[in-house]
Amino acid sequence: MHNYYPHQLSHSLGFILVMALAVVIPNKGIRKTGFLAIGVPLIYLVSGGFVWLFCGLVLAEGVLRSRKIDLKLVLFTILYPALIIIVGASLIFLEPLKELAVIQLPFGPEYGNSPWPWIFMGWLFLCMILAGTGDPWKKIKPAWRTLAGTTTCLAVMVLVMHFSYNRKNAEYFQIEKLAVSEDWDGLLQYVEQHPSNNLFGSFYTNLALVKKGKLCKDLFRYFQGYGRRGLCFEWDSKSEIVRRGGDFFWAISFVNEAHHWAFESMIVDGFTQRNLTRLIETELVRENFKIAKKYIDLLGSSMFQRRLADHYRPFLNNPEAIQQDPEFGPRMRFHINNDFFSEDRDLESNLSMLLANNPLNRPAYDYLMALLLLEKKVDKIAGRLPEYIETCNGTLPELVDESLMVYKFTHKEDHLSDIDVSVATMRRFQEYTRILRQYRDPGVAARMLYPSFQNSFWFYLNFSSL
Amino acid sequence: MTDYKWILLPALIFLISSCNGPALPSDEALEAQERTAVIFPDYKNITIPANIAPLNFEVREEGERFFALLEGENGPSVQLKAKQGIFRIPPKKWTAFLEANRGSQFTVKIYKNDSGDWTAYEPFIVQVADEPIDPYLVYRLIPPGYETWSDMGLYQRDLTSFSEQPIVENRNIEDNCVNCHSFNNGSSEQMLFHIRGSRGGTMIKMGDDIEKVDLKRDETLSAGVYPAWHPSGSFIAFSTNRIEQYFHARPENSIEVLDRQSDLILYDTESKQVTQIPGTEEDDYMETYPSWSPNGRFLYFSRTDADSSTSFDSIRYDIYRTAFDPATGIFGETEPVLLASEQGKSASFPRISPDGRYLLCTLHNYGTFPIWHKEADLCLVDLVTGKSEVPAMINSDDTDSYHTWARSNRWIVFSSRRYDGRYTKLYISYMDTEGQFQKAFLLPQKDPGSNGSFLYSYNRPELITGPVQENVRRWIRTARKE
Repeated sequence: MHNYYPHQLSHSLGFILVMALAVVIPNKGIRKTGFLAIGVPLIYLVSGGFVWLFCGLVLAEGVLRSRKIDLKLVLFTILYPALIIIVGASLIFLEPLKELAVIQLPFGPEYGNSPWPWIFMGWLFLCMILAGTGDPWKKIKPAWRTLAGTTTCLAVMVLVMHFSYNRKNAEYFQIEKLAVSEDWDGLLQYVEQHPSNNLFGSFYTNLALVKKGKLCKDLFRYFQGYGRRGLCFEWDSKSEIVRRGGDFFWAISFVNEAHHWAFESMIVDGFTQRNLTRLIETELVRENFKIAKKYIDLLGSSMFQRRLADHYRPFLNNPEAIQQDPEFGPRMRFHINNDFFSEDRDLESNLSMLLANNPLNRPAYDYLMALLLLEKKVDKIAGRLPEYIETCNGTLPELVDESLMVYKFTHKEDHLSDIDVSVATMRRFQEYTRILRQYRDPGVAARMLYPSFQNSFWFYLNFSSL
Repeated sequence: MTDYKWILLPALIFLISSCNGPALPSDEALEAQERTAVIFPDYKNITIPANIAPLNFEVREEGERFFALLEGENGPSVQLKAKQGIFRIPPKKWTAFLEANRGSQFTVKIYKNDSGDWTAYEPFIVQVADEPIDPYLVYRLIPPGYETWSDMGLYQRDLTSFSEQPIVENRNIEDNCVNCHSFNNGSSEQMLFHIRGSRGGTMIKMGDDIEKVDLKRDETLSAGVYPAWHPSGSFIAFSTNRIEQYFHARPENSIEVLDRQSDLILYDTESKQVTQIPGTEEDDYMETYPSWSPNGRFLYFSRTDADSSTSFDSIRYDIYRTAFDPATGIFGETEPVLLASEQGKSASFPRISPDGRYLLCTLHNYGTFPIWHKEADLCLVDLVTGKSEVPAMINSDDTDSYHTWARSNRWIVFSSRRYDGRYTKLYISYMDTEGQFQKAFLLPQKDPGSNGSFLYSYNRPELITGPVQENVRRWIRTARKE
């Protein structure tokens, strides 16, 4: 169950609590009745619907032990909790009865209808039935019984791990871990070894490429099946989207949008270290020191985040320190003078407006060029080149150079771009077109080109349809 | 043990009394500071109602111990000791002290003791007005989100104490959004609020009856949005709006909420009929923020002639009013009240004082949603002389927007982002008989420091004359009905 995304600590604690209480409950008599009379309402208050599992275990144990249905036990394990919940719904709690009956249980659509809680509960009852069968087991020596039980449990655990373990999720979590710790080299190295076709994996791979200035060089080296969404998510109020989406805007120094996404994440998820630090950062860069202080104080109130909060404090009311900070300074300098509305559905427009304010914003330019490459808009790339090459110290990244080659090849009469294609790219293009012409069947041509050109823009242009 | 207790008891009393610290020395032993102490909230030289909760405050000065002396012009003095710089005034003492000084004033003297050295700060004055403020204040508490929302609720605060009770919380209504609570002339017997989401509708309470109403009709733009109760209780005017919102790129701005279309409708609380308010259904103008005059003979509202092609920062609203005959339900002529657009401003949230003399509205540079406009200020219009002003005593450098009048005409409560620029807080101000506002002060809290750590915005304050006594369970049951 712990491999499963929506599973929460409260679910595990619920299972542990009721299992523990089912073990310690007195076997019979007045003490058992007293335990149930006091325990059932308390268990409901603490763990909600898990009370049904507790009652189920107690009832099953009682039936197995006495080999008959005890009416008093039925009363205490079925009617009593039902009565408590009905009375609670009428007099104490404000939630509807249907919700109160199953509150906190790991079932239903919110939990994604996973079979694992059912399987786990089935396992509990199965163990009980096996233990309750009594005599056949008594013939086995205690040491062997223990060994057999332990071996069975371990074998089941291995099987469950095998069937429930999601390698792709594990790989993705590793990618995110590397992204959060800003280990961009490590991330690219990891993705190289564990190619990810997860949306978030693709998003962070592209972010790492931008951070290393390699997006327009190595874009097609990595999975790009999500197209534009692999660069920047469209707005969605889902927790998993808003939690991560703001990282794109922070990377391109679009501070207002980074703040917007962090803020929405805070509303959806509550304050987390991640959204709180981004809120602090965006408020500091925007010189909203009063509110930045509020968030820093909040962060510092957590025992484990005091050091991080102390890291931010010197920036309060200190624009100079912010200017000089390598993380904040560029974002402060890329100030937006000409206002515009952020268009979350139109990434090209957003990036273009941002660049109109600050043409030297290299990450924003890389993302724009990557978007145009993914959308195969060769003409638009060519139109942007005079400005883009300024941000690249006069040398175009390989993929953009390749797109320029295509542009020049298809627009021989048009001199929109005076920038020259590098000699190496021209040579590679000749080789590419030679192989392409050699094989009329596109499938065969693709196979022949793949070893040498799989990461090129030309290969993507000819053979990839998103 | 019994034998010793009579010996131990005086010793214990002596020990406890000695923990209270040194007593105030004579004036000669004090070093005088030629300034007032820095305190939070800023309660210096303000006017307060005699029925307000204790003005607990915090001294923000370096020092080991602080003392305060409240000396009433008419009454007893109250001596206070601060714990960690925070003065908590005992409620009973405070109530008696204010009652004794009603219509008068008291002086607040603050002293500091550092290792036996005494410092006296310059004292300040607090006026106690004769007129009480309405005893209850209803507001929504909500994290100030942009597109999403989580937990929120409508709450009523007893202004004479620190007691705050929920009227309804959205966690009991499938996390739907609850908004736009509104009362008829400050009466908790006639109120409404909207629910947005899976249980959407408008909850209307008329005396003991509560019903959920769907105000959307085929011919209206939307369900009812901004409400205004007619004083008779027979009608409720609503705006209907097609709202869009955008996010600014410039760090100085954040969000822009725009109406692309808006009209006014009238809901008849007896016949349950919804009708378009004549003249507002045309596309020539957009009308919003309806507000009735206290006698019910005029409907005030914000209006602009901007259309969908107008640039967002050129949309400016004026305040107009339309005559209304409550007996026949017929609307008459429409006339301008405040042509804010001629001053390059846009006017929102018109609200008329209960005596009908003044109109208070919010002025901002453009648009229809001032709560995210830092330049938004409150503007007072004298409806007799036609003069308007932006009173400096209540406005700030940050957003000052939604407001409510007390039944006595003398008090307003308004929302402002001046505290930290993001989390809206409520401020109270006294208006004298000449129409002059006094310095606004922050809504008193039991722990003044909680203002800093509180992570909800106070939204849409509404003063009411008595508590909403409806059972929460009834609201929820009605809300859950399809």
